[in-house]
Amino acid sequence: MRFPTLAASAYLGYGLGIGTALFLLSAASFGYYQVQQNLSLLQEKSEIYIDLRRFFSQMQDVETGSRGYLLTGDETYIAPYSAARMAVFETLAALDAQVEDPAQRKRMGELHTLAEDKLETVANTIAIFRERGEAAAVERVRTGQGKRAMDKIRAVIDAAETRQREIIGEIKDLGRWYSTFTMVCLGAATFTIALNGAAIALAINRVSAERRRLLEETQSHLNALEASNAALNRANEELQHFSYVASHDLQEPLRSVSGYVQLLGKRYEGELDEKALGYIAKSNAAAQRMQTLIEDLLAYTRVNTQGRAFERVDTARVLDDTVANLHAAIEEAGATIRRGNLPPVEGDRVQVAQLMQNLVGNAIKFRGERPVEITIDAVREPMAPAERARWRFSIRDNGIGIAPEYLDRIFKIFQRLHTRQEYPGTGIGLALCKRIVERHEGKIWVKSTLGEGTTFYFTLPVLVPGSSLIAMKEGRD
Amino acid sequence: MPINILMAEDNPDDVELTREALVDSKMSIHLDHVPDGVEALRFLRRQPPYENATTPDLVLLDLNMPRKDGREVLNDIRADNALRKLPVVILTTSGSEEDVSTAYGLNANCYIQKPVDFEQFIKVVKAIENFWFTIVKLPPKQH
Repeated sequence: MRFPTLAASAYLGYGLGIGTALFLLSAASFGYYQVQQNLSLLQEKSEIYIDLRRFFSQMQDVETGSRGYLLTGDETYIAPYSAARMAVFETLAALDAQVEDPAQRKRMGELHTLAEDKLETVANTIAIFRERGEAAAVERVRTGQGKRAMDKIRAVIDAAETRQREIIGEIKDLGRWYSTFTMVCLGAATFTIALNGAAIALAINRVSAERRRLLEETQSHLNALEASNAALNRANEELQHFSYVASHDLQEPLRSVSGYVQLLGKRYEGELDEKALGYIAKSNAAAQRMQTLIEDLLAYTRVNTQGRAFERVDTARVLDDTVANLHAAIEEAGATIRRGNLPPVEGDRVQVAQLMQNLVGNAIKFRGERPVEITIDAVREPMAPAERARWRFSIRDNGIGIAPEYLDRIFKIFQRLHTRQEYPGTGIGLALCKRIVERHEGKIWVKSTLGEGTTFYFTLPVLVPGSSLIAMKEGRD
Repeated sequence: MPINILMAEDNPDDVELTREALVDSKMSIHLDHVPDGVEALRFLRRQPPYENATTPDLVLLDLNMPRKDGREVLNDIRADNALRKLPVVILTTSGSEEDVSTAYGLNANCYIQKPVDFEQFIKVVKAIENFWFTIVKLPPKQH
């Protein structure tokens, strides 16, 4: 089961969401910046409006100043008149600097000209007043030249003011638009972020709910495994107890039979004929066989009930021990034992020894007419991915061989291919070997040619430091 | 001086076979028999109905007996001040490592697995006799 995480598409979605929010925030910033710019612009264009008014007011000051002087001849009116004259030009200069609109610029040009004309007219009138007196000045005023000039100026100012109001209105509209834009972007960004946040929260919730569920499942699997393990342990203990009891209870009457039969033979030797003694001997032999069978069965169950923890096993040394144990048989058969490089493996030393001894013993036992040659070797088995590395051992002999139709039977318990007279043994040896090999999670198989020889193969785990097999196969003693 | 052996054994056939095996002995051996662990301790402690029992020179102890098994008997013998020096030979069917280990752990003097073959059994009994009563020095008698 896949460990639950967010899907790639989810990440993409959230990425897009956040990206969009960021984009909207940038747009809002841009909008805000524009609003600020707009405010400055508004300020500027309002200044122009103010200056236009100022200009006109100053022109009026010129008028009133000059008129005052013309009416009264009082020199005190000249100062404001002069000041106003200068101010007009200052204002005009300011306007020149600020106005950008082409139509307005044209008007500024006109105002310049008109202002100059008007001021010249006023100056002339004052000069006339000074040179020729009041009457002449008034005559001059009556021509209406001054008034017409002022009217023209007023007209231009009005037009300029109107136009300026328009410009200001446009700027204000733009400003409002940017404001709205900024608000909308901010709103959208907030919404996007909120949406994204909600989606992420939901996803996290879902993922953690899934993870919790996975944990629960794993825990329940663990519980099931523990229960099953406990059950297996109990079954194993029961089996162990059973085989112990069976062995004890089965052997007792055997010994009684064997004992009394032999006592019979001893006590009444003189009184018994050949046949009777023969019966006695055969009864004994049968009891012996029964005993061996019981011992073999016990050994078979003990492979698993009394298996030891795995450790490093030097198979070369094990073979040495085997050869020593089978010393008598080897000599009797005149057998030659050859060996390749035998590696250390991971396993139960006692069981590996049993395995070796059984197979080598068989190789000696099932010999033909030729001098016995036995070869023991080991190669590294090609490893399938995710599998444990193994050594493949081979024990090859040149004995009587096995017919192909029996090859799959021989590993069964108590299976024999020959009579007891031909070859002794209970037929448990190979079943025992198979059980041992399987406890080591290996395989055992055989190749043979009738009359030529047999090779037994079996696999054992490669020794790996800190291996898990060692931890798993804790002995049940 | 006759030698006294107490055999604690639940199988009467085994007792008889042991007696048969001892028949040819040169020594004078007196074999007492109890069928289980409870009787064994009563005998050793001279409790009724064994008030007149003699303390044996050697105990042949089977491990698997009803009521009280050999392991418990051995434990009680070694715990009892009056009895703890008694030579105890475990003579039993079982050959399991665990049983051997337990027996020696409880301080049995030695452990013998009864052979099934009677000839072998006779040899074993004779060997016990030979070892314990001619070679070995037994603990001095306590009265």
